[in-house]
Amino acid sequence: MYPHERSLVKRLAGQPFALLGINSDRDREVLKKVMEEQGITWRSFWNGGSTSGPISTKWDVHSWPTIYVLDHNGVIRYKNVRGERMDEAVDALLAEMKKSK
Amino acid sequence: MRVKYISSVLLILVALTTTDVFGQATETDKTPEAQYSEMVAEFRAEQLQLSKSFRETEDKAEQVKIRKRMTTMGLDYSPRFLQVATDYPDSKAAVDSLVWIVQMGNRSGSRDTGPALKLLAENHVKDERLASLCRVLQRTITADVQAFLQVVIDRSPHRDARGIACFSLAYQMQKTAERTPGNQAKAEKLYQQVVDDYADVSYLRGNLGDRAAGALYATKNIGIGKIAPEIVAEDLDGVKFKLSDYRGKVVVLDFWGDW
Repeated sequence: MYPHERSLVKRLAGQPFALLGINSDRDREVLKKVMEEQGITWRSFWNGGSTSGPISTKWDVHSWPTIYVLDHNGVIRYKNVRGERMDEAVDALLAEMKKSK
Repeated sequence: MRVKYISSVLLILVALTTTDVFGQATETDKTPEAQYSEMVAEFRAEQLQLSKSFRETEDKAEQVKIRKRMTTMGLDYSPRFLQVATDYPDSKAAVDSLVWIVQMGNRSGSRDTGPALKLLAENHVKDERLASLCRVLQRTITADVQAFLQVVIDRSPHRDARGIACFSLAYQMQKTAERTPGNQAKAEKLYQQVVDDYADVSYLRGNLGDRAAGALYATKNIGIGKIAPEIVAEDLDGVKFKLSDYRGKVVVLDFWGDW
């Protein structure tokens, strides 16, 4: 996951795009070390240190990772797209956004 | 990865066998319970032998072969379990055997699963062990499973079994709602029924009420074409922020963890 997401974030730098995490790890300090090592630069919401934290509970997420892709209006447009399909989804939404302006 | 996979297969398979004490019946006059225990023991012995061989060989082709056997060996055993269940339909071993077949078929696609579910529904719907079976079957989306869950909802005398069957059936309706119009409404109705009637039934580390309420909220509000619900929470440095701060941008939301 990490290498693909890293390259997506890098490729779309400067575009109206953001990758946001909802992280369910237990220890924030341990996690920050891993992120530094792995070059994870994107921001994450903290799910309270557990896979049954408040955000994943509300969103009814019980398997990891779970991915949602939102358009610029905040509408959910894709779920669980991985790899190339994630890139295609994001590119399509960016194109749609430019067209609508 | 492979070692992890094998050990998780083993864990599940061992879990299947731990609920029963091995019987030591004599060759003559074996009770159905003894026959069941012997088959479980035989199955377990083969598993242990296979995982030992797996650890001891360096040969990749051999490892692939062993892994394949481990995931499909249940198919060879399930007809024998079905035999015990049909020969002694009123025994405790009948239910154990049928449950064994269904749980095994869940992993390896046994063709005995359908008949086993039918027998359980016809002859053993009052058995309290069906509660955990209904939980295990949640993600096995087939018509046979759905028919079975409906029978448990309608006829089980055990409240926890009815509640879990209701929750599993709701899940299956939710997951098939895109393909089958009408299932969305069924899912919402079943989740609501769980919230109303079975909220306090314990389920995994929580209870059915919380799970069903979460699923009900999600199936109504979190889906393709719907506005994502707001998230307000701290980031990893303790700074509060909101999902709506990113309105105007395309956003990938990634529920993740480093594990």
